[in-house]
Amino acid sequence: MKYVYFIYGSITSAQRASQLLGTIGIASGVSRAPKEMSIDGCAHVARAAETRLTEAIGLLRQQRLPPKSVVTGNGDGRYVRLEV
Amino acid sequence: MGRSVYLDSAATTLQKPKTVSRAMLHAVRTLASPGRGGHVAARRADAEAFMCRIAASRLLGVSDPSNIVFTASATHGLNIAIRALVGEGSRVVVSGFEHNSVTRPLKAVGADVSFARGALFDPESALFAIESRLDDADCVVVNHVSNVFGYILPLTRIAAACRDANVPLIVDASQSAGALPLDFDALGADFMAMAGHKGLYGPQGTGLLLCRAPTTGIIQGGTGSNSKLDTMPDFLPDALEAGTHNMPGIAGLRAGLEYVRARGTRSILSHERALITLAAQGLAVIPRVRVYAAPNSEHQAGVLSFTVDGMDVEYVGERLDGAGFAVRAGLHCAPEAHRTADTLESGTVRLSVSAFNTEREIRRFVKAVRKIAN
Repeated sequence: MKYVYFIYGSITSAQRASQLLGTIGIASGVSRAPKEMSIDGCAHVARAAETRLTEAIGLLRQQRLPPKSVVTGNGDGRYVRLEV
Repeated sequence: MGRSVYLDSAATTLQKPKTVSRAMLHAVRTLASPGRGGHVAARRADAEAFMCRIAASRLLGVSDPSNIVFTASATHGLNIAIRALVGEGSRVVVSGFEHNSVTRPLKAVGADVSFARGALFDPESALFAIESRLDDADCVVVNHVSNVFGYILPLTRIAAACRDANVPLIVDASQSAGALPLDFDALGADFMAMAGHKGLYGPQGTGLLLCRAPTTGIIQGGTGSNSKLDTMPDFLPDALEAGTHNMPGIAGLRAGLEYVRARGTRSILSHERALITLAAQGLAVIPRVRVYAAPNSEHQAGVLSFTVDGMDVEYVGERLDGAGFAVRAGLHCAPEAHRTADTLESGTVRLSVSAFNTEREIRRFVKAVRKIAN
């Protein structure tokens, strides 16, 4: 499965995002952000299936929890930044 | 502690829910540092810290758990809040019942402090004393419940007056958190600091600072975020949480918060107030004993001060300790409260209860005081 990763500076914000996504049935987890995608250094992500990207980003913005950026990856250690 | 009766919960609750020590032991064995790694022990710590913030947000009326900052104590939180809002020459209004955890940091930053000394157990005079100083104020700092007298200040009305006057408000909720219903968002204060080890039944070394907006902290260091930058993150809670978290403490605090939420603050307050009323009534009829009880019990929480004419308060405290009762005597780190109540020279003996004390213990305590006073 292909995932999208919502990047946050704070682990707490990533956890809030994950919890929020769960409320609309989007399975999500929290992990460290890919190093090359973390502009300011260490960061954290809330993960979701790429098929739910539009729904997820809409909810996060609506709840005033917009990610710093969004990246996608296949689980092979390579990531691409998305413009959303 | 053997058969001793513990009546010093305003300092630290000693009897905790069993879940607290269990959670702490589990944390020592299984949790690493939150936000510092992607491995399982770090992720478990991530989850534990977040669940503690969620538990606190539900109990204390904070809609965004990011605005809940872990501190080492209420004093730590108050220092952060005061240094965020108060500088040299700032005009700060405080109640006449503040602890040294407020007055000493204010002195250290060079604030111009005005004491709004309303009379003991008279909320109207407290409100008037504060309101009448707001025109010239840069900040207000008040405790919700006096740690010496258990006096509940009219916090909601003080907060409304501060909002109307556009004056920032810092609340010391050390004695009220867990014992009185709190709704931080509705109150509209800028900061509210509290200990984790008193009415929230967590361990020593824990505290919470509720923040309305991000601010700069008093220490800088690693946060597990924005690591390339040589400045602290500008977002909460990271901005105020430099260094490795006290995970055993946080796990214990979560267990305490969950206990309080399950039992209910109104139920705890009702229980503690009944015990204090029982103690006040029993002590008041003992010759030479002077009791500082509110005429209206709704103005007092689970703390009661008294003195025995002709006896030093420390002597009374020692005698009670010998009789198996743990109380505190002296000034309780709050000389301004004593100055307001005119007990600065004598100090007081203070008993303070928790959800775990019983009527039987209070009746035995009253008997012990009667024996000492006679």
